[in-house]
Amino acid sequence: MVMLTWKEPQGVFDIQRLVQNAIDLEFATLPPYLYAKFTILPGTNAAALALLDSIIRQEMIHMCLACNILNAIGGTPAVTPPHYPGPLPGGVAKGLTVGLLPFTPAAIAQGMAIEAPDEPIKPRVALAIGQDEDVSIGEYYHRIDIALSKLPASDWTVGRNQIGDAQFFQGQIFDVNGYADAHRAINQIVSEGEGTPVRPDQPGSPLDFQHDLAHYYRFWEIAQNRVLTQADDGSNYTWGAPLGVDWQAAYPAIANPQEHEFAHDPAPAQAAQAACNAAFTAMVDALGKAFAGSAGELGVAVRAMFDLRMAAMAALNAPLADGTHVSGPAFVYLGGQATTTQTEGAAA
Amino acid sequence: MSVLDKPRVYFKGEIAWDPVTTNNYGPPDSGTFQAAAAYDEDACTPLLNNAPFAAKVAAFRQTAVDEIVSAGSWNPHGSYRSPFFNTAVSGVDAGNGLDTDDPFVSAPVNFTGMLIDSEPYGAWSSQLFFDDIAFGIAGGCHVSGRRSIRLNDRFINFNANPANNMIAGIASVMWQTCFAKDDGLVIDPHNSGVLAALARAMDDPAVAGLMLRFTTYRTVYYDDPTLANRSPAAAAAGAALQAKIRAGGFQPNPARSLLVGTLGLWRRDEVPTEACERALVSTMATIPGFNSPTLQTNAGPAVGTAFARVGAAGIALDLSNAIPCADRAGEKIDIGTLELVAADPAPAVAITTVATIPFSHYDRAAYEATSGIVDIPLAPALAAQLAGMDLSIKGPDGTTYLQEAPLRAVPSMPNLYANQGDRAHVEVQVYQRGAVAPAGVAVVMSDMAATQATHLAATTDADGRVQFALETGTPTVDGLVFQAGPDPVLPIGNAFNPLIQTYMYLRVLPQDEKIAALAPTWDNVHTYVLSSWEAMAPCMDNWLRLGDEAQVLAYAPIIRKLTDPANFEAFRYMPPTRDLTVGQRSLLYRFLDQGAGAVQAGTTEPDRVDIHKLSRAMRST
Repeated sequence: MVMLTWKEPQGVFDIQRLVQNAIDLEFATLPPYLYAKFTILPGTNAAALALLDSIIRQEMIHMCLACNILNAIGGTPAVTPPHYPGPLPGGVAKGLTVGLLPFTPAAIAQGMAIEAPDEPIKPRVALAIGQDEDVSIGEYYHRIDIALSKLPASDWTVGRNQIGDAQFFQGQIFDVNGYADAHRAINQIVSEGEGTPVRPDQPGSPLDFQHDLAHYYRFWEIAQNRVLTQADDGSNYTWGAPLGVDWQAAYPAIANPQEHEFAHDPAPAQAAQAACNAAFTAMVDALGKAFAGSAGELGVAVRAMFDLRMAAMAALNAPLADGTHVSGPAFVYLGGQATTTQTEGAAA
Repeated sequence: MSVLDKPRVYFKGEIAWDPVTTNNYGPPDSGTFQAAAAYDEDACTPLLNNAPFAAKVAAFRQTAVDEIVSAGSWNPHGSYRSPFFNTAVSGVDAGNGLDTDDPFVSAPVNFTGMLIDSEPYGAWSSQLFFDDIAFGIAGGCHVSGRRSIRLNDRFINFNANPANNMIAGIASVMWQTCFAKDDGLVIDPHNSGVLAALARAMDDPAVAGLMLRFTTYRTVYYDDPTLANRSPAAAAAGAALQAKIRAGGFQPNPARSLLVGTLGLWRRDEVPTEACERALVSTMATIPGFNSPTLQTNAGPAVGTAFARVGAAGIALDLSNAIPCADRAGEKIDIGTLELVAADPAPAVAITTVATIPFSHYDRAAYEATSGIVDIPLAPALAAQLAGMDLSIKGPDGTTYLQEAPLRAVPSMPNLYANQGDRAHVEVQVYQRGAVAPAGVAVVMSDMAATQATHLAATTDADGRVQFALETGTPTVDGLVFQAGPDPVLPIGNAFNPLIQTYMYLRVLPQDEKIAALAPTWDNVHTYVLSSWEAMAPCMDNWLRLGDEAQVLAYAPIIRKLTDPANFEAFRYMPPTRDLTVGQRSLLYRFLDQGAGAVQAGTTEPDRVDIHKLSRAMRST
């Protein structure tokens, strides 16, 4: 389980910092999940692909919602790509080290470790000011929720740099204009992500078969190669039909490409990585502008995201120098060096 | 019979519409639009193929953006995708009335289709291509199935909500498809009584599977429910979209509608494509206090066509597309207590009041609770009596809003694509008061827009069916109307009304022999095959830049798969517009083959690898 350091906030600026940590965390889960997804061979593992897709989409949505919260309380979201392998942002030292792993049991186990629920969720007690505590992601969000509930109305701004659902993710992203919206957003993030306690009436619990299972359980289904299935009396669950997971049907991709030296690889592999990094950088830059309120930048980020996908396909078809491996996208942020989202070379 | 039988599963929610609007144009000389037209509908040919290309593509895209405000092209970056959202099971009826406590209630309904018009300039030929749908989640109470046929819109009512006068916001429309029980249909009841009942019903030989019917209404554009046509606010919204697109990126602008729907039984004598129960057809009567409805937009509200099933215990009325809205929020117009009347066919005059329907049975709350279906109990003797009578629905002042059309001729394929020269026909199933019609009923097929009394005529066989051969010698897009009985009113002298007549569209794609005979060069492939999609659908840039020869060659296997005629019904078929001709496909494939040959010969892309082989090799070491 990922543990985060919680430092009891003393005011709105402290809460902004805590929400920014949550944004960093949501964003940091995306490259590992995308790497696992990208490395599934085309036309295989349909169920696992769909589960990963659903998780990735929801992480994107969670990030948008967290940014909406931060904007609503006067902050300016930053999009900060982490290094892989490495700890998750805000994570406790000596905690989980997260890497970019191809579609393997290890990648799915990593996903479960990131999303592992704190069950039952710990009582929500206020800490003494300045006191630190290590808490799960779910608990972290719950404490943010409590902190937000105490903010005066004057700390909230209606309509500030909000990302709505007009263009993407209809019905899943909404404006945060006050505490009630923020509370709803946090409930959505927690129930879909880490999940909620094991009760049939709790969205996101493994006994709630009315809604999508929380991410932890979806990873667990892939790991087990079985559908988590409701017992007929609704009081428990069993492992049901197979999902058709084929661990062999994956690209022979290296792990943690950020640690790989591509300079020694054939030109197509280098070109593909360059295209991946350019697209990733363009996406990060556009997201930063979008969350700062720049109209149209979310669409720019989405176009870059598609460019990244196409570049990743090229990279995964470009052998490395050893002739037996390929690499998925390294998710290296070029820090303003990238000037284009073009994918020339991506088809090489 | 149908979703009007029981058990039923009701659902409600919303759907997003993200069609590309650049193929809604008429030709430049039609007077309204300045943009290069996407199609010549008379010849069923992309018009863009008549000019030089890279510049033409750019010009088309530019003009499409320019006309967001001036000509209402509200979504040049559309992706065609139409997903349900916020959609869930709202109630069930296993036979004992509305139940909102069944464990299946609140289960999500997941669906995404590709919204494609077979006749792009018009408004009556929309389709949703999709692969499957899921109610509930795997592992829980769950229904999923593969479609037997794409969804087709029917009974579009452009007078459903005059208050919501923004583009097609005034309209409501009904959609239907079916899922065959012997083709991948899964029903996991667990502890749901209604799903257990549906699963048991699949043992009935007369049941073919499940039927899905839903109505979409109150459409909102630019994510702003207050916009009105030609208003400053609408112009500002369009200008903002223009600015976003001009600044770069992928900028879809989906509309969204509310929806209510029902999942129920599909019986073998029912066509899957559209409602075929007893049809209570709109009379287009004026509702007191409102302007008169017409086929023109922005006229007064009209009660849309409804359907009825009479069983031993009662009558079920499908008013899901019938009662118009009073405001933008979707509140229903209070027409007063409606009267359901039955009358012997003319010249007999016996009239029976079957039931009264107070506003509380068709207001917004009732509509959303049971997806517009109203169940009315009947004495068994009366139910039997109604089998030979014509039903109608009248208002408190005696105005007849709906009048049963005892004979209905329903085509088996609402939108048929054919290649020029193909042998094609349409089978038409005729119903008499909701039951399969007997032999000997006259049916005529006529052109929707005919100005002369030309038509084909046939009489039903013992199964109540007729077949009409379809003319495919000339590329075209044609609307064909079907009328059963002795007194057809079309093709001339009366306007076609989709609320009243049944119809289909026939789209005949040209053979394009001249294109097939062209040398398989990149210039030819781009000019005559790819440029039209590239111009019309910038969303393709997300996947593949169709103006980039290297990318097209690199993804040749995927392009082949997605353009395979065998995948025509699939969600991901290319082009989404389904207008790839035989000649275009031939030229494209020869180009792709040539590219593959070049790769094998080492002339280009020497580093392409068989990744499957590579993967296996790596795993075995």
